[in-house]
Formats: sequence, C-alpha cells, structure tokens
Amino acid sequence: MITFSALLGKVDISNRNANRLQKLTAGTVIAFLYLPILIVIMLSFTPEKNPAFPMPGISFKWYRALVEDDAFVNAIWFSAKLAVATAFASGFVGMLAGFGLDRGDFTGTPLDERKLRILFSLPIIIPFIITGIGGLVFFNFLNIYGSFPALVIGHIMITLPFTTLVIASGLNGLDESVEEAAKNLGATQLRAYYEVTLPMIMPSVVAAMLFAFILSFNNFIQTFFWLSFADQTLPVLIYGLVRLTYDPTLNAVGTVLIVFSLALTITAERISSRLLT
Amino acid sequence: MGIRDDVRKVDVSLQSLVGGRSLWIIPDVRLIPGLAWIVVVLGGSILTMVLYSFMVDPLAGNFTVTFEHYRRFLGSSLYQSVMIDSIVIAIKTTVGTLLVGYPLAYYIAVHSRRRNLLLLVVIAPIWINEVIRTFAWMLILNANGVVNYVLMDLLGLLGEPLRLMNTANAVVIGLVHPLLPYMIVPIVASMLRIDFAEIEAAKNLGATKLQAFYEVTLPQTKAGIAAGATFVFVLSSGAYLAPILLGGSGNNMIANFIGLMFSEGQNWNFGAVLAVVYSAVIVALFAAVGLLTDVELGGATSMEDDE
Repeated sequence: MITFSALLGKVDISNRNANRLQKLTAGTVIAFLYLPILIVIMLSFTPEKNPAFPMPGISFKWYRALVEDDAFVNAIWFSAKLAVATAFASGFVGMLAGFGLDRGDFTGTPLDERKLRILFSLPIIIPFIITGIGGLVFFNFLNIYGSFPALVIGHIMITLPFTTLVIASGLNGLDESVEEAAKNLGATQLRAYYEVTLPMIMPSVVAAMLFAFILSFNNFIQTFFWLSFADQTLPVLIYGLVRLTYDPTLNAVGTVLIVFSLALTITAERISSRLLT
Repeated sequence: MGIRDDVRKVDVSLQSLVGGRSLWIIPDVRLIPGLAWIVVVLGGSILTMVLYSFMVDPLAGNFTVTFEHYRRFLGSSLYQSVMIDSIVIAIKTTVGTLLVGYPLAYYIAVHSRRRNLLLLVVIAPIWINEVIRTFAWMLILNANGVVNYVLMDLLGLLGEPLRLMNTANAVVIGLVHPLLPYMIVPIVASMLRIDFAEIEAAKNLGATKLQAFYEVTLPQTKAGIAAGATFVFVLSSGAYLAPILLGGSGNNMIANFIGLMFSEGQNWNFGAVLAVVYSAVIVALFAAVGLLTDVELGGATSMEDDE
C-alpha cells in the first residue's frame, strides 16, 4: 500500500520548472480576476448596439447617452447624497468607537476587546439578505421605511465595521508617548486631542470615510430592500436595467463605477497604508 | 484665580466627557454610539424579523403565536430542496475558490517580492460594484458572449453556441470570481506564519518539493483555509444577484425566495421562517467549524506584523 505522500515523493520538479509553473498559474488567476472587468471597459467603447467581437471601432456614444439619461443622472445624484451622509456619520461614530476599542480600559469588564471586535464585525458577518429583510421589517416597525434617514441609518450599520476597525488599527499604530509628551508640556486633554492625536489619526479617518463612501455607493442587496419605489440608487437602477434587456449604456456606467471605485479605494489604502480584508 | 486653574477645570470636565470612562458593562463611553447601532439597529432588525416567523402580525399589534409557517416549511419539499440546492452551490463555490485561489495565495506568500502590491491587486476587485461584476459575467457567458465567440468564431471548435447562461454552473462561476479574495487573503496570512526553515529541513531530509508541500506547508495553512472557506461559504450561500442574473428562473437560491416573500403582497411570516432557518444553518456551521474567534476583520493587520 503506497501512501499519497510517497507517491508525491516520486515526482521531482526542477526549481526552474516549479517557478515557471507557479508564475503561470498565478498569472492565470489574476487574469481571471480582471478579465470580466476589462470586457466591460472594452465594450463601453464599442460603436455597436450589440456586443460584437472584434470591435469595429471606438466610440464615446454610450458615455454621451449616459450623461443625457435623466434616470442615470438622478440615480447617481441620489447615491452620492446617501454615500456622503453615510461617510460622515459612519466616520464619526466609527471614530468614537475606534477610540473606545483602542483606548478603553478592559480590565474586569465582561465586554473585552475581542468580544467587542466580533460585535462590531457582525454587520458584515451576518448574511446581507438577513440584514436586508431584517432592516425592512425594522424600518416598517419604526414607521420610517423608505425614507432618506432610514437609508442613512441602515448604511451606517453596514459601513460601521469598516470605519471602526480601520480607525482602531490606525490608533493602534500611533505612538501614544507623543500625546503624553504634549500633556506633560502643559497641554490639556482637549488640546492634546485636537493638536496631537486628531492630526495623527486623520489619515485613518479619511481612509475610513472613503471606504464607507464606496461601500454605501455600491451597496445593492440591503438598499434594494430598504428603498421606496420613488427613489433609485445607481446599483438598484442598473439591476433593473440588467434584468430587462441588454443596454450598452450599462458598459459605460460600469466603467465609470469600476474606475471610480478602484481609484477611491486605492487612495484610501494608500492613505491608511493598511490592507483591508 | 489664574488662567491655569480655568484650564485645569476645563480639563477635568473634558476628562469626564471623553476621557475613556467606563459605564456599566461598557468599558469606554465612546463605544456607546457604535454599540447602539449594533444593538438597536442590527439587533432590532433581527428581533423584529424573528418575531414575524412565529407571530401573526406583530407590526399591526397581533402578537398571536403561531407555528403554522414553520410547519409549512417542514412540510414543503420545494423549500427544503431550495435550501439544500443553495448549500450545494455554496459548497461548489467554496471548493472552486480554494482550487483557484490556493496557487495564487502560495505564489503571493512564498515567492513574490511584491507581496503587498499583489495583495492589493487581489483585494481591489472587492470594491467594484457587484451588479456590474455579475453583468460582466452575463457578457461572457451569453449565447453570443465572449466564451462562445472564442470557441466558435475564433477557434472554430464549435458550430453551435454552448449553453452556459441560466445554469447552476454559471451561478458557481459568477460566485467564485467575486469571492476569490476572501479565500486568498486568509490563506496568505496563514502561510506567512509558516517557519520556512521547516520546509528546507524536510527537503534536506530527502523530501521532494511536492512532498514538502504536502507534509509541511499544507497542514500549516489549515487555519487559513478554514477561515477562507467559512467566509466564502457564508457569502455564497446567501447569494442573491448571481442566481437571478446568471442562473435564470430554474436556479433561484434561498436568498431569492426570502426576498420574494418580502416583496409586495407576499408572505412576510413565511419569508421570516426561511430567513431564520437559513440563519440557523449558518450559525450551526460557524459553531461546527469553531472559527468564531478567527473571523474578524483584523486578519490583514496581523499579517503585516509578521513581515
């Protein structure tokens, strides 16, 4: 009886071939990750109504169609308003919670840091369909279903794990002795906060707000269940159109969303110099 | 009274306001707004939903307890098979992301000098709109889409277009793609904790590369695989968009039925039952894997510490 391990022992690959094989597979997987995105971007420049390969030329007509379409413009405007409100509110609540998480005194409390981190991660651990329909029932219970404040309240919940944990990890990397030094030199707690701590964690706060903005702007599932019939966010509008028929304008709006999302999150990642999972 | 005394007074009052005081079981008052969101909004959402699963109409004030909707689920082979189908798709997706993601994770962790850049390349697509990403797969899998163009027109291998859309496989592909990063990142994190001297030792003792991988590397990435698999399983089992847009009418998953029950004029009670049963399945999985402690956002930070 030969074991699997022994079987593997019979195969030896040269270092060069092993490296080649690993590079090839890694490259293929990265291509798989980016291929669909590239296809959307490519098709946004086709002059044809239907997707045709190879592309007969280059045209910007679908981008023109996009800016001339009131439905798209209104949806983008509505999504932007919601995302800005969410970014500021979630950034503020997340900053307070981040301070509490990093600076709190956990000796002898039943809620230790680990439990709090799990609690604050719950909105993204719980399946989105559950928070989606849960929020639908809850907002109906509060009699605010479909209103703008209800959407902001819900989006704060969705984005809070990101803002809280990004800011907490920013604070974690902060040298507290600088703050102590300011206090030793006679600064009050308040001055030490405003002149030392806040400027030092501002990058994390800005990054957290950018993440919150993009999460809110792109959110589909929950927003789909929380939205009244009178309003449309961009992802909900796109979903409706995708279900109906093929519209080349979708490639244009998709390209704008792809470039915009990547630019914003890479900036945020750069600012906070931390990789987010 | 000099100005220093005033300053000290301000300091004292501010200490009491923001200075990290604990309150009741809350270790720091600054946690209160955030916890309020978790407890009131998230907790309230889950609670009102659960109430609907066994009460007639709690919002309208009818709190009569009824288990009729749970009985309907237990007696319905349709919804039970939807639940099972969803889990099967989630398992296929989890295996798919593992098979596709592991080689890239290995490359990023072991070989690449540009580890952080590659991690960013892998993670970045997470932030792209999921409706657009699913739409992109429609462009690829359609009868006149990219795959059929390559197979028929470019290579001339087929005369008839392959039927890829509106199949369960299309759903799995459309889920493997967006969920890959959730599998890759925890595996990379677990690989970075491996002591590579052990692998060298194994090779010095006569093990081939594949043997060293199988005996030393693979076992030590179990925690990463388990964490990644949990993420992917949970996210894919609750998929909403991919089954509707890529699976067609025959491949609806549990989230689609839950959503349907909450649309206009439908049965909230039965929708709540489906949601509760589905949540119970997920919780049971979490308990079984025993991963509750590892599933946090902080995975990437601990990874940076290791470098």
